[in-house]
Amino acid sequence: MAKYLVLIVFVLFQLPLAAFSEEEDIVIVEKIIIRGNSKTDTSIVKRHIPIREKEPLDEYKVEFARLKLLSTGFFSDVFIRVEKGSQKGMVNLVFEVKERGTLFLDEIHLGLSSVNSYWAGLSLTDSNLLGRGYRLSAGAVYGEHFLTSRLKFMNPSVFGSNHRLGLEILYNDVSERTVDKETNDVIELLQYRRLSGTFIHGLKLDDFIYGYFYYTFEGIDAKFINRMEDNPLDVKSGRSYLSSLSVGISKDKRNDVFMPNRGYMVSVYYEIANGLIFSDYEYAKLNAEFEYLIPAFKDQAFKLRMLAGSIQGGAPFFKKFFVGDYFYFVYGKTTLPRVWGVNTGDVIKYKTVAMMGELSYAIPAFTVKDFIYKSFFYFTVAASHTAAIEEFSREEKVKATEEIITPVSFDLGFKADTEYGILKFSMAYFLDVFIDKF
Amino acid sequence: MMKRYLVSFVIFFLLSGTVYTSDESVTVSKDNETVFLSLKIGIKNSKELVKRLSSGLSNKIVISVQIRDKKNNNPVFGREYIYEAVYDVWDEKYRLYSFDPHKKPVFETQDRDEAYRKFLNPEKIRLCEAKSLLPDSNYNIRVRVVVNPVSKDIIEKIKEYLADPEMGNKGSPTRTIFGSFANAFIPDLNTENIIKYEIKSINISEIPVIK
Repeated sequence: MAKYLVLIVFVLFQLPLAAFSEEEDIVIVEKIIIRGNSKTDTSIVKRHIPIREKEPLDEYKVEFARLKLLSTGFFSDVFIRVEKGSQKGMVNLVFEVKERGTLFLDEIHLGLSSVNSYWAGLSLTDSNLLGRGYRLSAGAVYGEHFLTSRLKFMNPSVFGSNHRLGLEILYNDVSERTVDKETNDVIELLQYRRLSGTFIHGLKLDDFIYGYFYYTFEGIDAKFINRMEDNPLDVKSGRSYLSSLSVGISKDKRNDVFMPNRGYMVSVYYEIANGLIFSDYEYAKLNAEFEYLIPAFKDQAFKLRMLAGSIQGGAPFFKKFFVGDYFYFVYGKTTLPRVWGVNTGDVIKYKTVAMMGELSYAIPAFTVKDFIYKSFFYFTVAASHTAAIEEFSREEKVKATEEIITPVSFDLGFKADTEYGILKFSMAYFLDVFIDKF
Repeated sequence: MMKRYLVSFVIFFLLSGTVYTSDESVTVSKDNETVFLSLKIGIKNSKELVKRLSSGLSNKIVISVQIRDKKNNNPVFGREYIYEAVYDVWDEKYRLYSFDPHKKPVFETQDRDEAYRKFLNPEKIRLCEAKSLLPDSNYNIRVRVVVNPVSKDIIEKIKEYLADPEMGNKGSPTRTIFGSFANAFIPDLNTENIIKYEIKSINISEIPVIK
């Protein structure tokens, strides 16, 4: 009995002590204070902090908030400290941020070809417009026979929700040209202007899945100079309008944004245009893409990428699959890709079916303190095919001279994650420019 | 003659192993029963750690020790030790804790420099029993120190957060002569401060005895 009494007294004595020590450990966040943000709105900073005032201090969440704030790209440094609150056990959580420049070069375009003796342009992006986290890109490329310009605005999180809204405006003023194979003369085929506006609504469905909805309306003004009977460019002469609705969904489970070495990404995109939505063009377009990463020796990795698409109906030629967009370097052939929908070379192959399978190998390269965070060399071999859908249904064959005979293309390059964004140098593009010109 | 110099040079490099700076050292000692390890940890971004030490948030050092038989590479001992330093904003004191295995305070001071020194110089870390190291065997001791590790869970979560398809970009990405500067900023997620030390060969008889 005495033993039990001692035990009860012991337990009763220990309980308040335990309760007291637990209470001692709990620290409550009284206020969240943001310092150092002269440009970025405080509400935008707080949106990325998964901690609420009057909640217990959770150091796991504090570290997560620090990395989240760094990943916005608005800050070069985020230091977090606690300061005394109004009473013991209460603290103020202070985020000291150091803002960085958010205006950066998005794209640089330079080139020459047999039909355009020069073109040059660039695109600039501000990823934190007005300090509200809005993203605005503006760019223009001017060539001997074309001008293309693009303006893109995106609010990545509408009122802090999973919804994002954007608008893209594209203007093209182009003289589409080719080269006569026999005489080597440049032939002007078509002059056209396009002004298109695309409304974008994105929705984050979970941590990995994004859904997108697009509505595009564009006016086209086209004038044929020379019409090639065996390869007419599909567009209505004079003024016409295109109105299309698109939906897209993507699931991205790659383990790194810059150089993934495991995981996969899959995306499907469907576009429809018809008279019901006031379009002069009626077509349906389906695109699917799959990427799979296989880890190799050390941090090196194989990347398998597959892409397929088809178009049914009467899509204008600039909405079709352009051969240069689906090939890398092919010996003796030009595969210059388009610049914002504009064909800069003399190849005028716009197809309704595209298939591409590629295998890449990436080898991590060097880093330079505070400038190059990561970099890697890559080698890609791709097998691609573009065709007209009729070739499959009617078993028709196109003339061999019209097609790229070998379906195999290559690329060799270097990609670096730098202080000012991601830089990629592609040998295939470089060689394409010289082959087309010389 | 030249060849001999070259061979000596190569042998020197092969044997030299980890080169320590003057602020770093790994010391093994023993008493009658136990083998101990003492460390002087040298870190690259010491200024940042000094700043973090006064932040009021916890700072951790995780030390992993592995002892292997040099002859057959069999593990003899392996363990992880965690030390924590926190500045109490209310008491204005730096407190050091050892998780051995439960969190217990081991040191307290008001001097930041002293707290920093003590935090990076853990002394007399209890390794194995002295008798478990045989006198006729040599051992290899590997020490891995991680200062303020970021949990894998957080890194995975951040990667999910960053795994955002380029906003509103439908169709294939633009290929340009210099490729494109993608509009993404990626934080350096290799936030771990990993330092490795190694004693390539040690015999129990060589370990100094402490009183």
